Amino acid sequence: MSSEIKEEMLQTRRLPLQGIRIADFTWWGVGPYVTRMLANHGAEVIRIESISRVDPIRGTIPFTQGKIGLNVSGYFNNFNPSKLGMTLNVSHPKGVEIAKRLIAISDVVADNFTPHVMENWGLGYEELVKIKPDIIVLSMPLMGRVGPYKDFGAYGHQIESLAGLSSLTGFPDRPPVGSGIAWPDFTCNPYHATTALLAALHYRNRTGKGQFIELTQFESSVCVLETAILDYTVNKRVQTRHGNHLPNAAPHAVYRCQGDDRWCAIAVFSDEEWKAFCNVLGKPPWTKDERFFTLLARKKNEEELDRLVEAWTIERTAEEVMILMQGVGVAAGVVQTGEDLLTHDSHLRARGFYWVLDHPEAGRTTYDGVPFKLSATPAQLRRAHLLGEHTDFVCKDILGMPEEEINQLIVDGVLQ
Amino acid sequence: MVESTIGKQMLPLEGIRVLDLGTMTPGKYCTFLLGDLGAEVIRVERPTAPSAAISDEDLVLNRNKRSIALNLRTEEGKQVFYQLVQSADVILEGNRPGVTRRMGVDYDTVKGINPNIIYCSLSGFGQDGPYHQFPGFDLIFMAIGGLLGLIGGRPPIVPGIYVSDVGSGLLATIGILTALLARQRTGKGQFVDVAMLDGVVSWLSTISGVQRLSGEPSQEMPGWVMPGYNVYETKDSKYLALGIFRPQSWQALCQTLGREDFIDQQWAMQFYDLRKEIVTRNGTTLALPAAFPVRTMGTGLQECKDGWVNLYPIGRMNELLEWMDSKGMAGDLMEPEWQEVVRRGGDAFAIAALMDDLEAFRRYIEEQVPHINELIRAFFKAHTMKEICEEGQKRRIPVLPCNTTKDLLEDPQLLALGFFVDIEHPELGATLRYPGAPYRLSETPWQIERRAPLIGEHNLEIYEKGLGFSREELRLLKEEGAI
Repeated sequence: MSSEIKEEMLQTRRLPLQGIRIADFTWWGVGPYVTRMLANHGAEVIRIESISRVDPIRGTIPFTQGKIGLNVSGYFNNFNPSKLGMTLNVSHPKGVEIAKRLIAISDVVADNFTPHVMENWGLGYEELVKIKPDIIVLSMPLMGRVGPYKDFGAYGHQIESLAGLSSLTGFPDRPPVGSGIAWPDFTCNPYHATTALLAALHYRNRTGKGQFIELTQFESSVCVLETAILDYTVNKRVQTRHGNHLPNAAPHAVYRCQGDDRWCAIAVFSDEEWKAFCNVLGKPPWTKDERFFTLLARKKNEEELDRLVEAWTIERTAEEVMILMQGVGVAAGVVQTGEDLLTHDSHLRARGFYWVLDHPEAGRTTYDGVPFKLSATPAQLRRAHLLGEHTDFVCKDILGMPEEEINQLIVDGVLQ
Repeated sequence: MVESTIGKQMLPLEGIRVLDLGTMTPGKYCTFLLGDLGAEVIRVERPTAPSAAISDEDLVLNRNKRSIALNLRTEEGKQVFYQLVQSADVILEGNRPGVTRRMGVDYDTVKGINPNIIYCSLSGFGQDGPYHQFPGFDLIFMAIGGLLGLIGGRPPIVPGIYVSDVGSGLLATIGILTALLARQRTGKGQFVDVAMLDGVVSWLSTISGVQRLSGEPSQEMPGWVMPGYNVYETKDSKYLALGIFRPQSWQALCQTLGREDFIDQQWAMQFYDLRKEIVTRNGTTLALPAAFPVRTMGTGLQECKDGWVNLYPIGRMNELLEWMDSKGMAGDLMEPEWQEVVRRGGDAFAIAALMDDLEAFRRYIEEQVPHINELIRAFFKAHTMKEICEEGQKRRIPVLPCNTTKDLLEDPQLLALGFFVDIEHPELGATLRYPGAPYRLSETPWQIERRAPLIGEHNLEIYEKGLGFSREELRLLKEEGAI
């Protein structure tokens, strides 16, 4: 086993983050997503997992058809490729000691617990600096370590509402809606955290100094509001939901197409695009009507415009609408489903976005690729680890423990 | 509030020079982050009339950057650009693939001048593949990328912020930083290809990870792998979902099955015996509704007196009902039979106790849950967002406000954290308030060094001091329309 891992790790030699070791205490979504990006670029990420409190993502759908167990969740596996996994009982004093030994030879420690958890284990930043003076610690609390809401609890969908994203999403005459994927969990929070972490590594490489990074999920999510904040501070305008319309485009919406629940989004901004759009439709008389002739007029009669556009799209498949529009330079896109993406989309296939990897329990399954490509040091994905798969390897090869010590730790319930 | 100051503290990316080739929102977000982290970001913009008004977006996203006006479509302008390239570390561009090549500022050309350059192209669909020449906007990437179909009811709804713009800007940042770290080791630069579509697709993480090469579909049905959290096959080859968090419920189930010996096995990994046990006992089939009861009981956006809140009462239904009762608004839900309904349904996915009785399950989904929801709705509507969130959190019920931008600027938590910053704009005669940084670094704390620049504001500084042009040379370049 361990020679196989060594060989795999040798292959990471050419990756950009090779030589960076991360003691990864994260769980659920946000944290493992951060370390995923680093692991795929060569960082040696060691996920420290508990058996008494298994990462709930290991039990989350979707599963490989007909498979059952803690190692077959597609969700978990997709979030955790290229990492090493060890199981450790950190509630045991000896478990904390081993965690500290690992941290002493790591570059980064990451967690996404509420603020007191690491400290209760004796693994707070102040303690860790004593073990490893240049350690970089990344912590991702919901609300931050101070302030009236510091102990509040919530999930990604609610952070989205808290940060003002839901109030901006939906139709003006209907309730606000969520993003459908708890957007902050998958994008701005892990991405901002990764950005800070990489910048801190860059700084440490130049100065020899580590630091503590606090990513407050609330603040990080507000940052993506961009101009909405300024619109209020400058113009006292509270932006609200505007459905699928934009002030400077028409038509700009999602239109029903032929088939069951098939849709195509179309966006027309400039006059040239509008002309091209009308040509695709075969210049029906209404397109020459003065109610639709200019952007201003179209904005005024937008409801009717949407109805007329949809009367045309409903006669065609979403793919046909997209191809016809794109053919003349009008932005259009099929509202694709997961099945479309995985099985039909020629573009993703041509770019080799998805990775297919063998996994001893889950079988041959797909993993998301890395959404940016480095020409000289492209990312490499290894299949996700099994629960506790590398406990032995980490103890023996990384920590240099003798066999007897490992056995004793197993008997004591420290290594699980 | 942090005052606008000239920075003295060393920042993580100090000494890194970034040329931003007049990118749109995604690229601006990327260089906004790099600038905040201490990189010297120079916006290379097309010369325009000096009166050109600065947009709201530029005010926010171009802070900490410098700006030069440079026309890359003139030969002279290009030569000035090549001089800038010699001392640059990173170049970011956001044109449609092929445009920079035609302009002579593409990676291959630039690499010849400075082999260590990190060159990032941020495009809608990437540098290759059948869609790479497609025009696109945020909306289109979300549609093709599969995100739009998940938002709202029907028709699908476009999010109120430019989700894929910001997300891909962040990915470009991560790509560039990764390449910078690689360069620290190898000394070599490289090309970073960021496609907005790839970004969107990667956020739907749960759709991949299961698809098998054979094309066999994933198991769509929710299920968990602990004995109390799983999907069980029934006698007639259909499926039954079972989900229990609380030890009491688990104990009750084991007792019902007459298998007290399983009580301490709630989180065990080996549970095949139990699996068989449940299947044998229950020959009936339970058709699962599309939405699970737990999803429908009070979950999601709830309207209050003065706005909306987002509620997720999993495992905290009792606390919610006690609270409603204390205000006399629990209706009949405190009566024993309703307590029983809530107890059974409130445990996440817990239909264990209902699985013997299909009719009871139907009643639960179609009648009882709507009744409970009606009372929850009435309760929320009678209270303000503030009342709901503060008291709710006190009772450990995960509920948070659905804030507007106005709410955010008055939010006591953000104020306590000191999140917003005020920046002086002498040219506007005003001080404007901006969001702060998305993260806090203890050793290299973030600071505002300068407000967003006017186009060409730093021409003199960069051309004269940086590149050593004389005033006379600059006058000529200006006459030729290059700067």
